[in-house]
Amino acid sequence: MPSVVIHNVRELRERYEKVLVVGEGAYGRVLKATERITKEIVALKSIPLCSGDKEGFPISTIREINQLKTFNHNNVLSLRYLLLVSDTKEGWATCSRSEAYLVFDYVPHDLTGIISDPGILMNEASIKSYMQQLLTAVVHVHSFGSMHCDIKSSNVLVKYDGTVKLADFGLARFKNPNPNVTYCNNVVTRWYRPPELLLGDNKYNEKIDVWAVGCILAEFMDRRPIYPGSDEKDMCARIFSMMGVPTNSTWNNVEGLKLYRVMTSGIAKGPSLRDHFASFRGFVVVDLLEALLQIDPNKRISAEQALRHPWFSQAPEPSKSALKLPTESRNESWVKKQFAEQEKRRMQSHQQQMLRNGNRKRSIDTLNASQPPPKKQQKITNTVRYNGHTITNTIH
Amino acid sequence: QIEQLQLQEQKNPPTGPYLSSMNTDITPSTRSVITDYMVRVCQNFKLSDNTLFLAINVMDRFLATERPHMVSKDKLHIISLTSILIASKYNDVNVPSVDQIVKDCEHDREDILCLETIILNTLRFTLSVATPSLFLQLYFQFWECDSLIKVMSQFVCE
Repeated sequence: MPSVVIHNVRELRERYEKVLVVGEGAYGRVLKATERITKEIVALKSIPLCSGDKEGFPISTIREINQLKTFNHNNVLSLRYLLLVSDTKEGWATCSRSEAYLVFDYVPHDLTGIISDPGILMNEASIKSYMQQLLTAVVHVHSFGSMHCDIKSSNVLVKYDGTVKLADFGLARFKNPNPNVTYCNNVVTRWYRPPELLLGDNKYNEKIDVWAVGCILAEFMDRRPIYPGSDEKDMCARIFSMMGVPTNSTWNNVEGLKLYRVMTSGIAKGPSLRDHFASFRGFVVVDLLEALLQIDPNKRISAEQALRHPWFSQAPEPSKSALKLPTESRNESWVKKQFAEQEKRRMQSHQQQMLRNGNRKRSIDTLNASQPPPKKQQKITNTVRYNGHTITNTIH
Repeated sequence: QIEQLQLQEQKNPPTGPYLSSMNTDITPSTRSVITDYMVRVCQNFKLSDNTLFLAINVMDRFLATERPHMVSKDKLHIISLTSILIASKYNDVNVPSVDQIVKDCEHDREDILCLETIILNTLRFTLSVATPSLFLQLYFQFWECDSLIKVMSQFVCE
C-alpha cells in the first residue's frame, strides 16, 4: 500500500475528478471520483485531521489501515493508496489544516441495496454465492486473529459481476492472545449485534462476526432485517422471544454478564426461528441459519465450519452471475433516497387529499386508517413477492 | 500464531542501527533514560504492556528511518510521548487524550498532532508488529505458567 503525500488541495483536484458524494458518516465523507490519468473510478474516504480540538489521527483510521494492510483476499476490499493532503513542510513545521483520504476501488452495489430493491428477484444460487464469498472473507479475516466488528448488509459490497467485497474495517481489531483481555463493548451496528454484546460482555471473540453473517442470511430469506430493534432492550426482546431467554444451564455463566438482569426481564415468548421461517420448512438453509444465530457464542459455529455446511454443496450450485444486477448502483444511500422520495410522495398525496376534502381533521383520520406507514407497506409487498415467486420455486 | 509474530518481526525489526552509527546525539544511555521515562508515563495512564512495547517499537523505528539531523535530543521527549499516543490508540480501549499527554511536556497540542501524522506516515502506518509482550503472552498460554514466572519474565522483558 503506497502512501502518497499531496501538498495542497489543488494537486488533489488535478489528480481526481469528483463525481458525487456516496455516503456520509461519523468519520467523514465517501466520495466517488475518477482518477484523471488512468480513468479508473475510485471511492475516496475522507478523514479530517488536525482541526482545532480534535484528537489527531482518528483511532478507527489507524486500526483500519493496519487491518487492510494485513489482508490480501479477493473478497476483502483492498486499500489502494493513502493520500495525505497537507501543507506540512518537511520536518517540524506546524500544519494548519490537513486531510487524509483512503482510496479504494469503487464498488457500485451493497447488500442493503440489492435486498431492498423489489425489482431484483433473488434466487438461491446467487444468495448461496454471496454467502459463500462473504464467509470466505470472514474466514480470511479471522485467520489473522482479527475481528471485523461491524459486519452488516451495507458493509458487504457487490461488484457488477457479483463479486463480494467486505468493507469498512474501522472497528476491526486484532485479538489479544490473552483470552482475559477486555475490549470495547460498543461495537457492531445495533441490528447486527449479538446477544453477548447486548448483555454487556467485553471479553467477546470473533463469533460476533458469525452472528452478523447469520443476520445477513436471514435478511436474504426475509428481504428485511431479522432483528430491527429500536434500542438495546428491544433487540434483546426480539432475539430472546424467538430463541428463549438463556440461563446458566443453556449458556455457561450467562447470568454473570453485566446487563443480564436488566435485559432479560419481561420477555414474552414469541414464534421460534423455525416458525418465523415456516415457509422454508424442511430446507437445509434453516439449519445453517440456526447454527449461525446460536445465542451462546461457544455453541455458535465458526465461519470456517459454516463454509463446510451441506447447504453449500447441495444443488443449485452457488453462482455469482445468476443474479442480473442493474447498472445503476443499489446501495445504502440509494435505499435512503428511495425512502425519502416515498415519504415525499406520501406527503404530497396527503396534501392533495386535504385540499380535496377541505376538512382537515377528517382527511388525516381517513389517511391514518387507510394508509399504513410506507416502510411497512413496502415490506409487505416484498414478502408477498418473495413468497409467491422465489421461495417456492428456487429455495431448496 | 507464533509463526505470524515471527514473520512480523522479520518484516519490521524493532531496532535499527541508529544508536551507533547515524546519530551522535542519541546514545544508548539516552535511549535507556527515555524508555524508563516511557515506562513511567504508561504506568501513569494505566496503559497495557503491549502499548508500552509498541510505543518503544514505534519510537525506535521512527528514529531509525528519520534523517539524523532532524532528531536532536530535545525532540526525543515529544517523540516518545507521541509514540505512546499512537500505540495507545492502536491498542487500548481507554486512550489518554491529547490534552492529558501535552501536560507532560512543554510543547503544545498542535506539535503533537503534527508529529503524529509525520510518524505514522514515516512508518507507513505499520503498527501490527511483534512486541516482546505479545510473544510472552503466547508462551504463557502455551505452557500455563504460574504467576511468579510471569512477573519475572515480564520484568526481564522490560
